[in-house]
Amino acid sequence: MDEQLMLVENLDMCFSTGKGNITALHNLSFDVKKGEFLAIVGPSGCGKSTLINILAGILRPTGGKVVLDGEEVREISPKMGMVFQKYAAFPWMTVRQNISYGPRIARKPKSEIEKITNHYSSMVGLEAYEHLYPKELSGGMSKRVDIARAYANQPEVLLMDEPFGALDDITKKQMQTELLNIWGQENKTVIFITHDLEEAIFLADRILVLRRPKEDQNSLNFIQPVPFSRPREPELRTCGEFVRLKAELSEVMLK
Amino acid sequence: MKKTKRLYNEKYVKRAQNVIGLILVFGIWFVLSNYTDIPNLYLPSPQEIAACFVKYAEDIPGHILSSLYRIAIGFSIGSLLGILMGLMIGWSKNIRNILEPLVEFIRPMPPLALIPLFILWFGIGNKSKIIVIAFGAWVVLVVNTIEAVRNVDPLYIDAAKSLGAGTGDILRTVLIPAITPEIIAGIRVVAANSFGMCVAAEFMGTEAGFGYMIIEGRRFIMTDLLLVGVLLITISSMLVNACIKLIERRITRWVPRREE
Repeated sequence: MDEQLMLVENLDMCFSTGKGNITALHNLSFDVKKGEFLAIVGPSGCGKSTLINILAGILRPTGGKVVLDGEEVREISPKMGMVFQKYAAFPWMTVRQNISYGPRIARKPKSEIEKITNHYSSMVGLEAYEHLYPKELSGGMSKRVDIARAYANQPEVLLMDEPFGALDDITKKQMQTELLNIWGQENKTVIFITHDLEEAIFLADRILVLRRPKEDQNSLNFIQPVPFSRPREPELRTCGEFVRLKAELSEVMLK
Repeated sequence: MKKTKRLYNEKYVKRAQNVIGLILVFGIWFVLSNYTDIPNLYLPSPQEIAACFVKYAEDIPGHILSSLYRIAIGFSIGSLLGILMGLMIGWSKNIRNILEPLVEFIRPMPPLALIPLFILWFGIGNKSKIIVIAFGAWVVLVVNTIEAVRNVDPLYIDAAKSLGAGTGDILRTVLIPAITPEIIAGIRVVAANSFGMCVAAEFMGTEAGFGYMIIEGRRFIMTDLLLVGVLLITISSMLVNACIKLIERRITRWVPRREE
């Protein structure tokens, strides 16, 4: 569990605009351990979106680097699975075609594609809906397709960018519980970006709290370990210690 | 149950309303041509047109085939080139920089204005007619395809990349399926245009085709023959459109649509 999988070193990101340079990230360093569930939170304007894009390899940082498994991340790579904020299932493919996309692109043998697809399709409970197109799915089901598709490609890390942001509260909580189950079964490292503190505390092993960068202060506020044992039940959200931690973090973020 | 029944009724009401408009126009035509002094030269009656159909029944298939042959070839070549070029321009920044100004310049050129030039270059025969039709199809589909490629949500391309897709895979599994609905819509427009362009090209001189029938009708002041030519084009164009619509419905089942 303590084996290091990913290293983010002295990340800097400046955007030049007409009015001068804007610093989105300043001297941000942290590491990600193999198999852990890491949440990243922070107030708006703290560079969360920028960080996601750099981790995913969509943006190149102006300074520092991201190292995954000994290799610097320079572009989008299948080692880093993505679950996006928006629904990203290909609308022209059925649920099953979506889930099997990664293995099909990798030209794996047919029997293996079948096996992997069946596994992940049943993992998210979509066996009965495999022949449907995304337009026929509810929001929660679409998200399940995104998650199953990312897992089916068997990446080293899953990067989830506010994946449940668009869901209603009940569906969101259901999905959180399901995600924890999947994470428990699959033992894959997850980096989960969210603005929802409750979500972060409920899901994560550690929470990376970011802040707006300034000349004299770097982007990382602090790292908050989450003390609750697993498996976690939905009732955890109402226990005193949980509520206290949430209030504490919320206060820090408001400052 | 109740709701299904209501929908069922609504469908029939809609059909009936659709037919009313047609009957109305047809009835006015019938009355005007049979019971007023408007000369048949200006407005032949429906019966005369039907008689004309019968009279030329033997020649009509030949005319249809001549025109459809030109349209089919011109339309296919033009569409194919248009889509390929649009894909290249939409996909590659370098190709776009080189070719887009050219496309923007050619785009407003009315294909019909180029007919005399094409005749000069390729003669009065089939070649110049096919090229006009191809040119018209090409212009519309290049622009249409560039726009369609531009409209593809980068999210899908990023998602494909993060799942291990290379350039070829993205083209095959993301770009082409994503633009297909817009391309088919463009093809429908182009198919309809092709008929018009074919007729215009045929006006410049031909021995067979829809345009020939119309020109002959005018030359010999046979308004019924002229109208038969127009009707034949209309019907052929409608049939082609219906075929494309059928194909469209099959391959774009995934597209979210509002209920009609």
